[in-house]
Amino acid sequence: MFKNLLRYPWEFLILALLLGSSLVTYFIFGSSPQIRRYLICLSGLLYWSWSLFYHWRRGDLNLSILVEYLVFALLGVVVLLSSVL
Amino acid sequence: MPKWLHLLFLPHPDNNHRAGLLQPGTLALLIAVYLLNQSFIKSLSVVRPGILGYSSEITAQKVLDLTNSERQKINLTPLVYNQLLEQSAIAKAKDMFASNYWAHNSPGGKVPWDFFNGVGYEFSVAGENLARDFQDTDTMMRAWMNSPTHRSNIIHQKYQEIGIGVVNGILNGVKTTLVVQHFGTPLVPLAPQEASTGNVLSAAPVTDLAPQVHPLVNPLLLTQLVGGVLFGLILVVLVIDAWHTVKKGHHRLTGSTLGHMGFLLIIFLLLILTRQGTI
Repeated sequence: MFKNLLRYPWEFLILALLLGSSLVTYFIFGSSPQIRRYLICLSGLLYWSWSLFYHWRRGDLNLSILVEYLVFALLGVVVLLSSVL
Repeated sequence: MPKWLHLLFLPHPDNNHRAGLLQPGTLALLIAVYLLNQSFIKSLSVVRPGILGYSSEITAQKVLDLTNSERQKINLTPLVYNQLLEQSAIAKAKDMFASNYWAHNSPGGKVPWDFFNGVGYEFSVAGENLARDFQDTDTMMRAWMNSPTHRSNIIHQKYQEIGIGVVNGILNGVKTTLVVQHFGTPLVPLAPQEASTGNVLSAAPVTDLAPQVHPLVNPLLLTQLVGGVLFGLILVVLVIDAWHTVKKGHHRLTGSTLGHMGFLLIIFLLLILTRQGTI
């Protein structure tokens, strides 16, 4: 796990920036449920997009990996959306 | 440990060296179960209205005090409490409960000014702030002050009077407290002395449209609990999976465990820190 972190530091830095900025944006601009819903969906989409980029860089991008990330992103989005009125 | 449990939580040749819980099929099943659970919670609000709800400690007097305190921070005169505006604010909250909506304009086409006119308040300038599902006045006030449009009503220098409605009732099957602030400046302006001294009368007590029984379940807390347990479990299995993979030195064609852990951790944080209430 950490081998990958050392081999692809920039990719993981991008992920940290994407997730960190999602968290910060959510608390700064998420005063209305509508904005919160958009931000949650955007976070899921960004995570899935990052997976495309990361595995393309690794050279192991395939359908099963895409499905795995899609399900993880969906799980996060579904659970969070239900907590927003 | 039974084999099915081992296969669910730990990597094994029989589960292709990936804990069953982390496989896309199982995760999709978890999403389906979660959605079913949410549907059950929603159906509770229809079958047994009032079981779900938010208990609140908000009072009109505290809303009035905090509103005037925000105005005084920037040297604006405090708002004078007006009984007509209070009646219009309570009428607006009762209308939202009666027609089951949450908006400035009602589905039947009523706009906020209809409530001002309905109680005979003649105004030159007027405004409305709404809030629901907050447990305490301070949190609600912070949410309003963090929202540019609500903040501009609270610190609007043209407003001279205010009326506040705090009404408990059942909205969409969920017991909640609606707070309505009606701001206005009378068509015939207040005498300067009256306006500058901030002749604040006592605000009305909370109006109850539903029986005074505390709701059994807070839907936000329930969602946070179920989601938190789910994410906590997946995070633990991811950690075990990562440790097992490093220990055994397996190479698998799967997604990044570190990436998944980072994503789920952020979602977990967002879920736990989700704010109460809506404005």
